Amino acid sequence: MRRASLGRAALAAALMMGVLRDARAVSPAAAAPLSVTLEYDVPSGCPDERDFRSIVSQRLGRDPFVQAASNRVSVVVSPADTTISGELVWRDDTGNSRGAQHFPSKTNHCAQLIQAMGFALAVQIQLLEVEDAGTPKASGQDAQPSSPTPPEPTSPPKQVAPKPEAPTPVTHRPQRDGMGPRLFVGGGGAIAVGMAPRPVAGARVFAGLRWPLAALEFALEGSAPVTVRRADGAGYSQWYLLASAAGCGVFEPGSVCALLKAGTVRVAGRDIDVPNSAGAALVQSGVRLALSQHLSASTSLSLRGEGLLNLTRWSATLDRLPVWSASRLALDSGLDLVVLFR
Amino acid sequence: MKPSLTVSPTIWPCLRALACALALASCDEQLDAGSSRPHGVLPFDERSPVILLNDGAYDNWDGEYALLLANGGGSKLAAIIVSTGGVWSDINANVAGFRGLVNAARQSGLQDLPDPTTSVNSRLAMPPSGKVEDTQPNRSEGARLIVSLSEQLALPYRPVVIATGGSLTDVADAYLIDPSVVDRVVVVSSLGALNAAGAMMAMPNGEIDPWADLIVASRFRYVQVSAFYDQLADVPDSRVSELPANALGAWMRAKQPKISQNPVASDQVSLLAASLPGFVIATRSASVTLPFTPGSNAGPALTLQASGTALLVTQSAGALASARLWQLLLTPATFSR
Repeated sequence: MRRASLGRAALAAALMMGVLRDARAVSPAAAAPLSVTLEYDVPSGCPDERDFRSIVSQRLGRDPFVQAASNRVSVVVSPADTTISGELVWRDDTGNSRGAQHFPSKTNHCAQLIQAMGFALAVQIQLLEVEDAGTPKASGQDAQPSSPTPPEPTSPPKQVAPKPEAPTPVTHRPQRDGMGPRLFVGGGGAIAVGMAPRPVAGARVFAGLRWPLAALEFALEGSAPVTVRRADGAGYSQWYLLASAAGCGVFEPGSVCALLKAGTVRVAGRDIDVPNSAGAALVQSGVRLALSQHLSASTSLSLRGEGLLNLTRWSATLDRLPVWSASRLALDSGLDLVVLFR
Repeated sequence: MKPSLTVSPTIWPCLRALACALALASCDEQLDAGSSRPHGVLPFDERSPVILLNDGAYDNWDGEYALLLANGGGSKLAAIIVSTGGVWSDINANVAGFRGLVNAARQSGLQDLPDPTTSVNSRLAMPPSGKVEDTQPNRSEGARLIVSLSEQLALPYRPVVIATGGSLTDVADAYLIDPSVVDRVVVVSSLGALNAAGAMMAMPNGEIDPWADLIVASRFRYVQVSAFYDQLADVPDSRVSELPANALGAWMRAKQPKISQNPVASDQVSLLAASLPGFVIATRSASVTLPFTPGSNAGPALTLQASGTALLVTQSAGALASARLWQLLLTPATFSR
């Protein structure tokens, strides 16, 4: 019965660790080893300190115990009437308690209790290592956390009752990583139709914030000059420069955005007797559909297509005769490289 | 209790935004990328294609200038329309003369030269109503060619120039066939004589078809070149030996003695006005003076008037024309394109 409880505890701890690892996409191999100083106080008849160290070391695959670590763990087993109970207390280097876990037992079988406490400590050390690996450290900070707070207790159901004494970062950090906005930047090329007499190449750079289901993007985009000539060789070049804002709904791997663009379109005469340059305001609104393909955890390619309404229209004239007039609708499609930051 | 007739303050921003959106949606900017500047004082230049109209082939250098300039930076020659007029009443002889010229030019290496088009016409008659549009058209070959070529070649910013050295019959006939031709062409005529009030549409060439003169001057963009020059100076006896040793040089050597000594016979002034930048030195605006006298041997008068739509070329640079002619004749590249 007790062995069965320990088995469930091991399974629960393993599942919790696996879930947390996947959520942070950090491999345990990348975690910094955590060292602790052990204070061991148990009644006679219980496994000694060396046995406890062995239990933890076997679970971890290494010996985490050192003489003077900044993290101290007290393992205390006390008799209570006909039973015994255990307590695992984390302290910082000044002796202040950072968290504790109580291990009540319905029997006085100390070896089993020590076994459970050793397993719990190993799991906690492992979780802290994983947590620290995903947390940027301040410059000059020790590789070991100076004042670690024990994670949510992982113990056999019913056998132990978690009693955290202080809020633990483990309960908050996954929420911040999963729900909070993440900065992204990127750039790409595009082909626009309806902005000039023939398709025109363009490029854009952008930055924004992304939530799990939404994104906000700001961009600067411009076109390459496109030159149009009439029958006698005289012509004009045209290009545009736009600032844009997009509000997007994200439905991985796709997204839908509402767009607003504003900027200027300019023309300049080419190979005409009296060339002239002129510009006008350009305002567009429209919709973007995009599909993304992840290249890595932080980079992706996004294929996009935009349908745009030219709220302002313009005509290019030579000899005061319209050579080309912008249509009401424009299409823009392109490929972007996106870099997502934590 | 005071009834409230005021609009909620929150609605004004919405109305303003709506007004701005509608204003933006209606914006249509014209972006001026530049304009052409004619290479001379006339509102067109050598970049316009030219249709040459004439009758006789031997009394002046009109055809020679046209063919050489077309191969030497001047106007492209779209057509040569040959008709009759005055002493040049034999259409076959007239056409044979221009065919001989074109053949000689081709043999010499000049390119992109059209075959002469024979246009048989008769003097247009003023209708009893006195209205131009009631005039019975000839529908001559030349008139129909003007209509079709102008449809093919004219651009809104670059009209086709019709350079006439004879009567205006085929030009007026083109209007009677298709009145919209006036939007596609400019008529430049070596015609008439200057006077203190402006000019008369009379001799030379104006006397051949006076009613056609009136139609052209009143309906077309019309430039009358009445500033002739001494065309004997173009190829004087002393320089005949310098003519190139090719078919065109031989043609010109044979023709040189036949050139009219009458200065007003230099029909090439209309072509030079269109095709040689700098030839036209001065112009005056003029308008057509009506009424027209039926049966007259002269067309209407062109009276100087600042608001007039017709242009009178009052001064030309004959020496410049002669210099350009010899430059083209003596440059081997002219014949080896």
